[in-house]
Amino acid sequence: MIVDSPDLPHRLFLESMLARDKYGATGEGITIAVIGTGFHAKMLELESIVEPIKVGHKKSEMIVLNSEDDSEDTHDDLNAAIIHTIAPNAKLMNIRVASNERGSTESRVATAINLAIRHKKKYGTPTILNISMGVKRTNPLSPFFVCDGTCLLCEATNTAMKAGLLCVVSAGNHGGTPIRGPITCPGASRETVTVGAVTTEPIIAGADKGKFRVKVSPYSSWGPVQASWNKPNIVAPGTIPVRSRFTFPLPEYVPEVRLTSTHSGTSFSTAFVSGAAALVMQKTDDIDLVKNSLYLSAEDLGSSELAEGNGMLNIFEAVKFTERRRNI
Amino acid sequence: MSRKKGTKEVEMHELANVIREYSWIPNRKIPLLISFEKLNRATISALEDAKVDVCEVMPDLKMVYAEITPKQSILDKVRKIESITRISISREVEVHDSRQP
Repeated sequence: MIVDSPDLPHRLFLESMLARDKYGATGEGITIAVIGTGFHAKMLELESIVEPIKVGHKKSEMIVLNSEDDSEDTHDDLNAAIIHTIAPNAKLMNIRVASNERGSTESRVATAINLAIRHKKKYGTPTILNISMGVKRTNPLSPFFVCDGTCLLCEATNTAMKAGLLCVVSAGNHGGTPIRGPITCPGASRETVTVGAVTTEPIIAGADKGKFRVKVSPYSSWGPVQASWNKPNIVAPGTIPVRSRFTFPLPEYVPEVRLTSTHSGTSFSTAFVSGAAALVMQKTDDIDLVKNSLYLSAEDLGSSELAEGNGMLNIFEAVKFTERRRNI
Repeated sequence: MSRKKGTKEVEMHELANVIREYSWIPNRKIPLLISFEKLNRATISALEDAKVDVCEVMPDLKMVYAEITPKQSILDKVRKIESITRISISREVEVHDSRQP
């Protein structure tokens, strides 16, 4: 796949605006639970769309983020911003189970999934779980993948899917080759929408000189998980240029320099797919149709299926596909 | 939750190896995720009788987060609880983010 601009996130934002204008897809009525490092709703000015978590016994409540005083930029700040840009009317649920540096544990992630299922049963929300983390389960003595999608964390997401929650999970940042596919759990689960990352590289010769080729990011984890099913299912942009909030302490005569950094990871690809899923779910509550819309409208990149799954996310085509299927 | 034949036995065997590895460290607790065919008060009290610290009950997932002292005797008692389908160590989960200035 060849594109004119290397800015893939911008391309997807434009696609979402097109879907908004043509089909009225804004994510209205959809709630996305962001399970991860937590985001700063106040700082991001997302307070009006954050849905409070109403259920949960004492211990579960401990994992809910309430840290507006925490000045550190979290990984989910960017995820929440991406989701909100794509699906501006979708509500967000803030479930913090990890910190940027220390990660989390399986039990905390499982607790968060259980909390989301209980909330769904009681109040009907959330509808989507955005999980941008995972456990790498490989055997150091074997080149092959150990989890076959049946570990307890994978089973937890399967249970969530059965309860009507669409789980969008990152594939992992471990790269891969056809014989070694370190897809992290719960991304290895059969039912989840597992997301890999793409980036662009400039074409320096030939007819397309000056354009950019979209390719799977070198860090994006490869499948397969089992002979019968492949992961990741879909890929989306994973490299996001971000202007940092923090500045260098420079002398007065030097103009202010803001730090710019690149955030890379399959986490951010997951946020794009969660946002797109919210637009599609506004049109249908059939989870299988949502998955099919995302997969069948994806654009082929021409690389291995083990790396790109069904191809790169196309938000406009996914919404169009659902709208057409709904009208049949 | 689907019950895979032999999985519980394999997991118990792996856990026994971990316990052997950590048994010499004083006050060491091993975090576990345990899933059940049926999760009710009786199964929770069976775990507590086996001297397992039940930290979090997840009824919708039919799972429990628990911690055990690495002793073979405790593991033997846990093995006898019929309704347990799976048991595994609660491992660290990584955030899929890498920042480059």
